[in-house]
Amino acid sequence: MKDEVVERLKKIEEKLSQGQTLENKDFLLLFGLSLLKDKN
Amino acid sequence: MSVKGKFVVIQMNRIGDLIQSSQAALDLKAQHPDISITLVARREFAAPLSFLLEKRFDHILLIDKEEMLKTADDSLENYLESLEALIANPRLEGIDVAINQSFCQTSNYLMSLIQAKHRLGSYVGLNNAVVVKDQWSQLIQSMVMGGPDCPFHLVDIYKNQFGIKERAIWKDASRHIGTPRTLALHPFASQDKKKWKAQKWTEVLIKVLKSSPSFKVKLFGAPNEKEFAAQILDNPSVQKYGSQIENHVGKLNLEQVFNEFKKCSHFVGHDSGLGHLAKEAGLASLTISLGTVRPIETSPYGINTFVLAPKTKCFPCFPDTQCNFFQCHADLSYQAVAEIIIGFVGEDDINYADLKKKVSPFHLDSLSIYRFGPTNTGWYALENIGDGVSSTKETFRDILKVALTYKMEEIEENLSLPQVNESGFRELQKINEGIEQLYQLCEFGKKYSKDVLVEISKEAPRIEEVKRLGDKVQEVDQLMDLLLKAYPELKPVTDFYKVVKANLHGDNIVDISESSYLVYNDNAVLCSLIYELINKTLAASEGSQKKSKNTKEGNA
Repeated sequence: MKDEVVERLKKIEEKLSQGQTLENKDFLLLFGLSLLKDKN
Repeated sequence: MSVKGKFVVIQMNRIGDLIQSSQAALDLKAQHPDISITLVARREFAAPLSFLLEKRFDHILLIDKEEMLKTADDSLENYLESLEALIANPRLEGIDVAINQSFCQTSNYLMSLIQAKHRLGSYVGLNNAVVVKDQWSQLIQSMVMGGPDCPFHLVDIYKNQFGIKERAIWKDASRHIGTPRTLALHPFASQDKKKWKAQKWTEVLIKVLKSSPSFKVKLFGAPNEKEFAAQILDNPSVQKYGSQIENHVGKLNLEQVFNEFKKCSHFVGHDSGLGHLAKEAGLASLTISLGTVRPIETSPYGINTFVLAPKTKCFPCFPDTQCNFFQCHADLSYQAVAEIIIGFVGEDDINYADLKKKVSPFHLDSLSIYRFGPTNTGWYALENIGDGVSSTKETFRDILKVALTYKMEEIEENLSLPQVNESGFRELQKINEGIEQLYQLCEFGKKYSKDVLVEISKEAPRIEEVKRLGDKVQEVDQLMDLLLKAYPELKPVTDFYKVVKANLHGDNIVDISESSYLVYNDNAVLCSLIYELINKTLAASEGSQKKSKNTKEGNA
C-alpha cells in the first residue's frame, strides 16, 4: 500500500507543478492519507 | 423567519470540541428548527458522546478509520472505496451549507469532497491551497490557528459562522446542584503542559478536605488516568480523608460520568472535555488553565464559570513550544488554588477580598482569577475579578473584541474600560503608535488599489503602470511585516488582514483590485476603532491615576 501511495502522490505533485488542477479522486486520496496521519 | 435547509457540520477534533460545536448547533436549531444538521465526526470521540449529540444534531455520520483500514486489508483501492462510500452517503447529498469547525487538514479535504451550495470554514481549492471565504472562519484561520490572542470564545465564533444573531435564548439559567458541597474533580488533561503533577493535586486535596469536613470529592478520569489518580489517592495523608472521597477514575463511560456529575454541585479541573461536559450537567465550574490553554477561547461555555490562569509571561504557549521547566505550573501555587476551591465550593463564589486575608500576596499576585460569562451582547467575555488592574495583553484583547464585534456584526459591546497601571499605560501608548502606522499603510494600500482600477478603466491602460502599482501594493504588505517586528502586539490584527487578503474575491484584475481596496478599507476602519478605544482607555486611566495621586498627596 505504501509504494502505491507514494506513486499516486508523485502524480499529484507532477500535476500541480504543471499548473493542472486537482480532481475528485486526488482529493479522496489526500483526505484518506490525512485521516491516516491524524493522531487519536 | 424560519429557514429550511440541509447543513453539514464537520468536527473531527476531540470531545471538548464536539461539545462546543453542539452548543452552537443547539442555538441554531432553537432559532431555525426546520434546518436539518448532520454532524460528521470521528467515531472514537463522537460515539461515547452520542447521548448528548443525538439531541442536538439530526444525524451523525461517524468516520471509523480503524474499521476502514481493517476492511481495506492493506489494499489502497479498498481503502479508497470505503472513503468513496462514506462521501456517497445520502446524508451528504443535496447539502445547502457545509461548515468546517475543525480547521485541520483532514477536514479541509473532506470539505472539498462534499458537494455543497455554500461552504463556511476552510477547504482545499483545486490548486491544493487552503481557501477561507467567510469572515468568521477567516478569524479562526488567523487568530485561533495563529494564536494565542483571539478575543472570542469558540462557541461564539461558531454561532457567528452559523449567522446566529439572537443570543438571548442561550440556556444561561440552567444551574444544577445535585448534592450541595459535592465537588467533581478531574485533575487531568490530554497533555502534560496542561496539567499539574500529581503531587500538587495531592497537596490541594489534603488542604481542601482538612479544612472542609462537609465536602465530598468525586474523582473522575479516563482508564489511562488510573495510574495518575493512584499517585494522588495512595498518599497516606489523602487516605486519612478517604471517607470524603469517591474514586470513579476509569470506571465509567461518558454518559455515566454525566449522570454522576448530576449528583455534584461544582466541578474543578484542567481544560478538558470533562470540563465542558460538567457545564452541560449545569455545574458551576473552575478551570485551572495551564500551558497551551487559552481561557477566552475554550473555557466551559455557560454561567457560573470561573477560570484561574497564571500571569506567566509566556502563558499561553503553543503546543510545539519546547518547555522543560513549566514556569506557569509553578506560578499557580497549591495554597492559593486550595483556598479558592474552598470558597468556590463552600460559598459558591470566589471572593477576592476574602482571599487576600487568607492567602499570601506572594501566591496571589502570580495568578489571574476570571469570571466567565455573557456581556450585554450575549457573547461571552472574561472578567478579571482579581486586583482590578488589567495586564496590557488583557486590555488589548478586550479592545480588539469590542472593535471586531462592531466591525463584523455592527454590535456595540459594553465592556467597562479597563484600569491600567503606569507600565501598562506606556505599553498601550506604544501599541497605539503601531496602530496609527498600520492605518497609514492601509490608506496607501487603498490608494494603490484604487489607482489600479483607474488605470484599467482608461481607454488604453498601460500595462507597465498597472504592474508598478501592483508592486506598490505588495510593498505595503511587506511594510506591514516590518511593522509587526516593531509592534508584535499587532499580530492578531495583521494576521487577520493577511488571511482576508489571501482570500480576495474575484478572478480578474478589476474584481481583485476592488476587493483589495475593500480589504484595506476594512482594515483601516478596524485600526481607527482600536485607536479610538485605546485613547479612551488611556484617558480614563490618566484621570484615575491623577485622582489617586492627588488623594495620596492630600493624605500626606
